[in-house]
Amino acid sequence: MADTHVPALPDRRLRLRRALRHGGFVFGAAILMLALVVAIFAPLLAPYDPVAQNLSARLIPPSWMQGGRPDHLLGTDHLGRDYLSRLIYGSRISLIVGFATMVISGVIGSTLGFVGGYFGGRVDDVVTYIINSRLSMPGLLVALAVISLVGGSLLTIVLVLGLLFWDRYAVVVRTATQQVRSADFVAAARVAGASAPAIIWRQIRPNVFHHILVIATLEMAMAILSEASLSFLGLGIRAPTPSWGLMIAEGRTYLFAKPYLIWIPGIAIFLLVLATNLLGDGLRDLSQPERHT
Amino acid sequence: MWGFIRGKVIVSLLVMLTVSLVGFALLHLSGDLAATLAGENASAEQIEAVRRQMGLDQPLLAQYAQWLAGAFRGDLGASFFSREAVSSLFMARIGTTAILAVGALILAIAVSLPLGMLAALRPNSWLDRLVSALALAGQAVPSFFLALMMVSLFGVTLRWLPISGSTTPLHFVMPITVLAIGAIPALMRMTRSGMLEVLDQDYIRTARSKGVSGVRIMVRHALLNAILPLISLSAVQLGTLLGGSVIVESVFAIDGIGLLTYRSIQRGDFPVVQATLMFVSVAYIVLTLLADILNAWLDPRLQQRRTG
Repeated sequence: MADTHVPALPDRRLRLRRALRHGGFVFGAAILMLALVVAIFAPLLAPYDPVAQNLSARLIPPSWMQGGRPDHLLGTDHLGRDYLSRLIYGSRISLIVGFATMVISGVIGSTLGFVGGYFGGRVDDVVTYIINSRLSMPGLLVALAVISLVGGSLLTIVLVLGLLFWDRYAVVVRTATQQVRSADFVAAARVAGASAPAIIWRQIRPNVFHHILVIATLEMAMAILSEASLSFLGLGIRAPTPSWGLMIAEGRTYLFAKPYLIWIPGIAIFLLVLATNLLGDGLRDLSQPERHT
Repeated sequence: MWGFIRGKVIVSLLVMLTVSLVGFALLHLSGDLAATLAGENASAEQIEAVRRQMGLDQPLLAQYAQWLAGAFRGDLGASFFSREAVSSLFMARIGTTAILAVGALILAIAVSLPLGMLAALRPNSWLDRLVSALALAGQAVPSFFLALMMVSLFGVTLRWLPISGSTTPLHFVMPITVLAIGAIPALMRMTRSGMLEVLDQDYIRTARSKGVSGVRIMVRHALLNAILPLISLSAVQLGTLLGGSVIVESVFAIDGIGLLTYRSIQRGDFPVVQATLMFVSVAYIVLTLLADILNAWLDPRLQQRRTG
């Protein structure tokens, strides 16, 4: 309610000010930006080559623990590879999988949702049927089976996850489109002779975009977790490429003696997924300000 | 009601058929099963021999028709490796996985229902914030990481619980907890938002203005209405739990359907993988169908809305 008393600010500045007051949004955005910077500048930030082995420096604990060394801040793994460097390069895999999957599944799911929601009737029946069939398939199991047959690589993982996890986009965009479809400005565009694709793109898309954005963050988090799980199970990213899930799988042998080998990449995955989800929650709150007052 | 049920059942059967065909095609088109089976050092002739022997040289649709005909008779084929019937491999393990999945679902509901309700009673209170934070954390922690952490804490440091196998009830404590934590965030959020919606309705306000206490309103007036979406979500979650058991069973070395699937995927044991995909799909479809019917029975308005 307080917002009605604020002197009229330009829309964008008002939105920015509201965003900066949303703790979860700020925290999520900050962590995500940090991860992005680390991933982009990995070659400059990483002190060592992430795949270079040094068998005379195996299993060194992190520098703050007993036996730690200042030249290996997070210690080394069972092959003497610098753990900080592997963690830094691992962020690239997570972010690439997260973003690429989010885009591919977003395009597929939103298109289905727009088509079903806009046309309704028989077309919608078909779209609903496709969505139901997809929902009935166990996503992670199908991904595991297909990726193991095709062979795990960054490209296969992104394609398979992207082609599988579009269901939430489709469900949400379909419902949102149904709500916008009967609005006056859509009817006006139709009367003016605009084609269906043009109406969907110019009239409907801008009005459901905030829904797509929220789902996008959830899907990105889901993709990051899925890649980590696939790599942990040995069916995703192949060694020696550093992926956080794979690092946990490799550290598993030393679970009892060297638990930090699991803690470090585990916390990295946790923080990145948490940040992505917080960003999504923040976007949802900010796009529905009435809920907040 | 019967027309509603018949329509739902027909669509469900069609979805099962579609899913089985898509799964079959995906597995066959993703790689050369014969080459996988023959092994890495097999010659071209050996691969061809395997292909003929397994019937993999026939057209895809013919293979699918054969598989489907078998499935209708209850014959899901035999494992490429152990030669055992897939159905008997399943029967030996289904109990273990069912304990995991159902146990996890019960635990998840037992945690999320009261917490979600309390959070809805006092929106924006410290309790509500705590519940949201727990949901966020549960959503972000990878299940395999959580499992390994629990093994290292409760299994190794404290020595309270056994870390692998499935011989005693104690063996199920950690796997069920890990699976439940994966299901809790969605269930808790759904309970909270469902409750908030119901609490905002006129008849609840009336009851409140008449001085009926919060907890009493919850139990007598709001709970039944908020439980409808929860039933559907529980059905969905049970399907997800069956899938999630792949990771949990492999970490805790529990010989259930999940571990069987993981090993079969690793060695290209196609009949077992196809059967698992079908099993989880059918379980999901049947459960959501039952949830739809139960919902329609509890709330007859839904029958009109969905069939009309």
